[in-house]
Amino acid sequence: MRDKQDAVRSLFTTKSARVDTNRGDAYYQKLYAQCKARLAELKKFEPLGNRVELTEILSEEGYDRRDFMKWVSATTAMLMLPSFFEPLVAEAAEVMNRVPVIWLEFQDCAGNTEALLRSDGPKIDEIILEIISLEFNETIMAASGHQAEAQLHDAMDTFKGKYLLFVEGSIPTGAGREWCTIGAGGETFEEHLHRVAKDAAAIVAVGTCATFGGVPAAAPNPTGAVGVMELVKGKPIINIPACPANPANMVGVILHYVLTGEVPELDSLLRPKFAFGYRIHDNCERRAHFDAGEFVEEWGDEGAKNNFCLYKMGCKGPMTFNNCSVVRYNESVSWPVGVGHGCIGCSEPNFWDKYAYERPMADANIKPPTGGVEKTVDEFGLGVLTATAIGIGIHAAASAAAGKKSDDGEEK
Amino acid sequence: MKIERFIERIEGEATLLFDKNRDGSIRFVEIFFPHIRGMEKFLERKPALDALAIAPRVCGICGHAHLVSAAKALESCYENAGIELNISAKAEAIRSLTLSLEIIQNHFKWFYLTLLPATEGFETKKDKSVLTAHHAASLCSRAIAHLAGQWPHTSYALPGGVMCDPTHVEMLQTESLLAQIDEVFKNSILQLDPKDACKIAKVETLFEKNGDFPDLLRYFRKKGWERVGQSHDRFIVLANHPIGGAGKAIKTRLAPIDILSAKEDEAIAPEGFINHAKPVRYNRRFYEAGPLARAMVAKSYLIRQMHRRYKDASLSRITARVMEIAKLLEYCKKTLDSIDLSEPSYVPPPVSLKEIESTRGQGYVEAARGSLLHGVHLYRGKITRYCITTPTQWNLANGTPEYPGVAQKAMIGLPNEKVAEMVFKSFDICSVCTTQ
Repeated sequence: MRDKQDAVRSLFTTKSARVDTNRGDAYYQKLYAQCKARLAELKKFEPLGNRVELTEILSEEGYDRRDFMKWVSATTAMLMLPSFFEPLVAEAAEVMNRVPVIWLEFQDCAGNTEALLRSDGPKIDEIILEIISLEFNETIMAASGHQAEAQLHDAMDTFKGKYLLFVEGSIPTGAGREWCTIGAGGETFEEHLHRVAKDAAAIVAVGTCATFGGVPAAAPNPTGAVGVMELVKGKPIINIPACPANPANMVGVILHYVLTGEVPELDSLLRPKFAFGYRIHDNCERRAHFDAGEFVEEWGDEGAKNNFCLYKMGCKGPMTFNNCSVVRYNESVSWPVGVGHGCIGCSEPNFWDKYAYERPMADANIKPPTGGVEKTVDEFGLGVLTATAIGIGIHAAASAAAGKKSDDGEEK
Repeated sequence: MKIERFIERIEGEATLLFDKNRDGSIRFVEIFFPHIRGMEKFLERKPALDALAIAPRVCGICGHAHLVSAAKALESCYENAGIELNISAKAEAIRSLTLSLEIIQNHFKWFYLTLLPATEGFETKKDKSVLTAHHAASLCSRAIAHLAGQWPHTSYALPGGVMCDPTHVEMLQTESLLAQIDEVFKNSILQLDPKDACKIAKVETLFEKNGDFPDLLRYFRKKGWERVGQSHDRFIVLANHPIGGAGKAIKTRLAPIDILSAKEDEAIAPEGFINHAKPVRYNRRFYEAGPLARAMVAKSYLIRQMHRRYKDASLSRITARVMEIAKLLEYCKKTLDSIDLSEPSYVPPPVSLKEIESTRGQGYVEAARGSLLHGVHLYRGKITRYCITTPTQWNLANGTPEYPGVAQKAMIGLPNEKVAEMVFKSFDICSVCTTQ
């Protein structure tokens, strides 16, 4: 009993935030110079596909500079950069149309595309159509069929080695691989992914399906679905899990790439630390009620009416690494905990089998995270995701390539 | 001559295999959906309430409809075990409100992002129409988020009610968003207040109005396309919905339905092709589901007039869908006003599902694309069988030349593939739902 109490105490008192938010002046000055050089380089290029400039569109749509700068401040903070980076972030947003993006969909529901389409800030519809150079997206592009195939081929050829590849949806392997094919040649998803990934600068896996297999990989995993990092080797991979992934994080990753030419700092599951460095619980708006021992005991009770903590109703916030509690959803209107339904841990590996919300957390067969961020993510990972070892391998390679190896794993 | 064509700009991918006559017109067409995830399979053996977290993930566009169907299916499990549940009027209203908002955003996006680009030769200001669609959709999803937490993929409904407990603040903010959606409607699709749009009683009046939709109507007339896309002229509506009730109609003749007569068959495809879409029939016949079916069964005066002239042509289908936006907007405002915040959001069921030995249930709702049905079998709180039947399984079923499916029949005889693709898209395609 005492052990259990100790475990629970350490679970919620451990200083989980091991994200280094202040790396010192020297580091930021160096990074600043590097970003400035990178942006100057990008500015030499013409916008791809003759896309219009951001400033023109913003003024056309009735946004003034002030609105734009508000977005810039918020985004700079989200990327964990000091405020003197703001002019650079603004410039980066303006040259986003120089970086080509290819978006592939596999076993998915298009939920992430949907989520991306209504991101906020400089309205994402503008971003997606005018600013980001989205060369190929099956759901929202104009071409179809063979024409689309040709367009993809063109984009891959023209921007060989330069494009960011966004992947949405899991990839069936094993017995189920013929169950899903794409395009004229009846290419399987796996072949298609390998073909397009070969010449990508980096791959961004968006949503839990593309990162960890997600829903399609739920037991008994009828199609043998896996995430991108289990298949693609030797490329920097950035995972943005959650169902749907938060558009703010997608834009953040693109912006980071534009700004620095590198992938952002990642954790051992290849998730950008700026978004996945904290648990939902750390910044939850209901946290005060947790600390005060005020819990919802039954849906619809007095506690529910007073926004008490949802921990006893099976909220997985303490186990889940994501920034929903800060960024929220749908242009920051709300998020699941905000309306009282508790976190289901949708950005963690295998959440369908381990986390779905009927089981109270105590019965959820999850080891409580008693360490810090890095450590707990590893522990989780090893328990539930066989690919973690591979993940760490790639991560090491990616971090080395990015030239900023992280060494802030927590010691005990 | 057989020609294969891939259809994009939908959720997932579809393949149309055209068999053409010498003059290029379409003799027969087969519809395949080559993707599958196996949703029904991995719901098996999971705890019953997990369905509420997993089912919405079937689709990124109509996930909310899947959630409400799943919640209703579990509620009917209680009923079939002889246990009465008490769902408050407030919970029902909130579910229905968010579901209607999901339908509205779908219709906007379908009109601007799917239908208009597929209408050959129709001049639009491309960027502007894309922005309109996203603006409307973003307003709708924000309104949903006030009540359901987020969109897409929320799990806020459960057997017994909903988890949210909105205050007057959320109500006011939702009301303001509804007013903004009204404005978008008025400035784009049909230049009329939704309230006045609902009052239009004559087809000709509609042709004379301003807006992107009347422009499209006039374009159809100019091209002589008023009658393209006619199908079986049979309609089905499985669930009661804001605009009318359940029922079926053969031409204009209405009849009640028995849900047990709706049956799913195995997916068929010729040698060398993959298809995972299982066709659904009612009494072994194909029926059309969706806004046109809803309007026909609800005896909408305007749509029946349209039907008298053009039968179940694409033009009738498009009109029913666009006019549904106006009707749902009016419904949303009325429903929001009617919510009594002092009522409970959730009334706990008397027992847990685990305490029931064995039971089964069905939940159905009208989703954006038509009737959605979830069937579930439970044994001591665990799912033993789960069956999802989606609207697109009704509309996009692949039949044979003797007994073609609804969309197949609509495309047979058309002059070329371009027109066929437009007719196909007038049904509002979704491959992720069709195969799950």
